[in-house]
Amino acid sequence: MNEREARAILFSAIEGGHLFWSREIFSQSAVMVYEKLIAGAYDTIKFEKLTKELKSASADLVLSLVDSAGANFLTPGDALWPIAVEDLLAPPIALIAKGNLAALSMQSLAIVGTRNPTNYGARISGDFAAGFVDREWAIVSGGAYGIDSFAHKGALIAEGVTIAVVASGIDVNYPAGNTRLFAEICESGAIVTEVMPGHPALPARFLTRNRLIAALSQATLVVEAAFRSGSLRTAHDAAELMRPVMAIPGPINSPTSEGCHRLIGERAAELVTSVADAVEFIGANR
Amino acid sequence: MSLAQTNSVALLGLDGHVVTVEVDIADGLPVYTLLGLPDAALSESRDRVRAAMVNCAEVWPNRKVTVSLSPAWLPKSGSSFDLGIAIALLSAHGTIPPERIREIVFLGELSLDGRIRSVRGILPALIAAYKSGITIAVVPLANAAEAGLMHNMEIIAIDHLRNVLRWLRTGEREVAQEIDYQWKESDERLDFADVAGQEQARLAAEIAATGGHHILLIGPPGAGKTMIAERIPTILPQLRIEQALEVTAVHSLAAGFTRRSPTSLVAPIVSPHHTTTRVAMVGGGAHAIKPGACSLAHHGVLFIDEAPECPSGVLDSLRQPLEAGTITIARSIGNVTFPAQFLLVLAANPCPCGKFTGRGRNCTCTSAQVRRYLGKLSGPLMDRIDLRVPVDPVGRIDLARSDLGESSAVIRTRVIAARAVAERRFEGLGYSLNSAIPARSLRTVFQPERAAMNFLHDELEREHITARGLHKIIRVGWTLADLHGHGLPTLADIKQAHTIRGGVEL
Repeated sequence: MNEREARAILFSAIEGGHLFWSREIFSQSAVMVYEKLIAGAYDTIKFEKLTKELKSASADLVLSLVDSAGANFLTPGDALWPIAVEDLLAPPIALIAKGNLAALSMQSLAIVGTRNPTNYGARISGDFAAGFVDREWAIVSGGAYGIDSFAHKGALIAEGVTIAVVASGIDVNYPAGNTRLFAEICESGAIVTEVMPGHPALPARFLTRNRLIAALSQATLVVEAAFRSGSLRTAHDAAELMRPVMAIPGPINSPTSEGCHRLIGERAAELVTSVADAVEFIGANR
Repeated sequence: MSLAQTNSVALLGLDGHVVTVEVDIADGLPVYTLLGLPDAALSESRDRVRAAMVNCAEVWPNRKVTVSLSPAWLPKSGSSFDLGIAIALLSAHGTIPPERIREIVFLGELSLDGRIRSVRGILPALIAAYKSGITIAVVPLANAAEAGLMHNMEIIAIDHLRNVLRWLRTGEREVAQEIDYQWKESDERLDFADVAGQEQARLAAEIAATGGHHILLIGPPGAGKTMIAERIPTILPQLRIEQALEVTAVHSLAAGFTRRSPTSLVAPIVSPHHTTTRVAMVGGGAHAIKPGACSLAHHGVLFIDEAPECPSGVLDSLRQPLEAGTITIARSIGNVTFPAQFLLVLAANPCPCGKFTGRGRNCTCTSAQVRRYLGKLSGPLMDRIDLRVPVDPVGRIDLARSDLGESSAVIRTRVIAARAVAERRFEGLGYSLNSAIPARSLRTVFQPERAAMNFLHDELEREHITARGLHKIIRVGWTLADLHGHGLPTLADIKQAHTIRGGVEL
C-alpha cells in the first residue's frame, strides 16, 4: 500500500475536518495511521466502527468512484495539490476536484455571503468578482444560491477563473438550480470538495466546507450576511489562518448587512468600499 | 283558458337567454311537472309558488299542471323563475288576462308569504331581454337600483306578488319610490393622505395606477402594505359608464357576496383571503357559473395579501386572465367567459415570520425558508409583475409629522392626465396602458431615448438585468415619462424605473 492508496481509504471513512485524524495523518503519514488503526494501536473500542469500515474499504474502489465521476483525486505531493490548505488546523486528507486543477493554486479571493441577497449585494458581489478577475485573481466561493452564484457569475462574465468549493459529492449538483453554473465553472475553473462522490450536502459539511473556502483563497470578502450566517464562519476561519478578511457595509436597516456590520464592529473584518481598496488592503496585509 | 305563456331569463355567465315560461292546466289527477332542465333550487320553486299563491288568497288549481321552460335544452338554475311561473300559472287558470303578460319579462324569487325577493344577475338578464325585443320588466324592488340602469326599458319594481297581480288586473300600482339613478362618483372613506411616509411605495402605487403595472409590495407586518393597496382604487380614474355597466353586471351575478352599489363609478377592489380556492379566484360552479374574484375586480384592483401563503395553483390560475383580460370557464353545461381586466396588487411579508427587516435579529426563519418564501411567487406569474416594491416600517418621524401626504384627489389628477397622454399615443393599437406595450414595439416604435437605451444595454451586458427585466423597465419608464410630461423616456426616467422596480431576479 502506498501513501495515495492509504489516503484514499482514510478519506472515504473519515468525515472532512476531523481535527485528530487530520493531525495524525499530516504529522505521521497516511500509511502509518492506516496500519496502526488496523493493528489496533489506537483506542479499539472508540474506533471500532472506523476500523471496521477501513477493513472493508478498498483504495481501488474509492479511486474508481472518483474517476467515474469525471474528477481527480488530489493528495499532498501531487503537483496540483493546493498547498495553501495545509495551513488549516485540520487540513483535508485529500480533495476531489474537477475542471482546470491549476486554478486551485492561483492567487484567489473568496467572496461569500447570504443566499438571499438584495439587489445591492447581488450587484456588489458580481462587480468585485469581475474587478478581481481583471487583476488576474481567481474567485473562490461555495456554489450556493445568492451571493455565491453572483460571485461565480461575475467572474465568468469577466472571463475569469472561478472555483466552487461544494459541500456535497462532486457528482451531486447541489443546489440543483446551479447545475448549469457548475458546468460553466468547470470550463475554465474548478469544483472542489472534501466529500465522497454521491454523498449529500449535510449541514455539518457546510461548516467544514467553509474552512476550505477560507484556506484556498488569499483573502476573504463578505458581501452580505445576516446576523447568523455561515459566511461569518468563513470569515472567522480566514481570520484564524491570518488571511485578510474584508466586509462590505450596507444600510443599517438591511437585515442582510447585519452580519457584515457585526464583523466590522468587532474589528474582525476591514471595511472596504471599492475593488481598489480591497486590493490595497490585501497587499498591505500579506 | 288553460294555457298561458310569459317570459323570464336564464343566465349562463353574463349571457342571458330569454326563456318562455309556459303553463298548461289539464284535467287529471293533481300533479305538477316542471320541464326544461331545472336544477335543485328551481325544482323547489313549486313549493314556493304554491305557498305564495295560497297566501295571497289565490286558488291553486288542483289539476294536472305542466310548467315548461323553453328552450328545453338549456340548463336553468336559480330561483328567479318563481315570479314568472306564478304569473303564467294564474293566467292559465284564467285569473289574469293572458295577452298582457306575453310581452313582459318577470324576474324574482317568491317567499312563502308572497313577497318578492331579490335575485342575482338582474342587469345581464335585462340586457338579454331588451336585446330580444322585450321592453317591460317586472323586477324585485330590492333590485330596483340595478334595474334602473336600463334606461330604455320600462322597469316595474314591486315588492309583493299581490301588488303584481293588482297591477296586471287593474293597471294600478303603488307609486314607486323614486330611486336615485345618479352614478356615484367617489368613495369618500379612503384617502392616500392617511398613509404616513412611504414615499417610495406611494410613488409605486401612482405608477401602477397610471400604467396598469401589476405590483408586489414586500414589507413587514404593519408597514402599511394593505393601507396602500386599499387606496389604489381612489387614484384610479373613475369608470366610464360602459365600464361601470360591465362591472355592475358581473357584481350582479355574485350578488350577496359583494356590497358594491350598482351605480358606483369607483373602480372596484376585491381582496380574497389567501386561503381562497382556485374556483373562488377565477370563477366556476356546477349549476350556475359564477364569476370569481378576478372578474369581480374587472376594471379595478385585485389585491391578495400574504400572497406567498396562497396554495400553489391559486395564484397561477390568474395567468390566463392576466394575459387575455378575460377568463373562460368550461363546465358540462357550457363555456362561460367573464371579463377580467384588473390591476394585480400582491403583498408579502419578507419571510414566514415577517421579521426579516431592519436589523433582522428577531427573525426566526432559516436562510432557506426566507429564500423559499418569496420564491413561491416566482415564475410565470412574476413575469407579469412590473413593480416589486419594498415597504419599510414607518419611522417615528413620519408618524409624528402633522402635515398629511398628498390626497388621492391630487394624485388622481396626475394619473388621469398621464393616462390621457398614453391613450393618445396608443390610438388605434388596441391597447391604452403602458404595461400592455408588446415587447417588439419596445425595441422599435416605443424605444426610449438613446442614452437610456445605452444604459440599459450596459446593464444587460453586465447581467444586472435580464432581457425580460429590460422590457419591464422600459414599460415603467414610459409611465414615468407620461407622469413627468416627457415625450420620450429620458435617461433619468429609465434610471428611476430601474431603481423603483427593485428586487433581484434569480
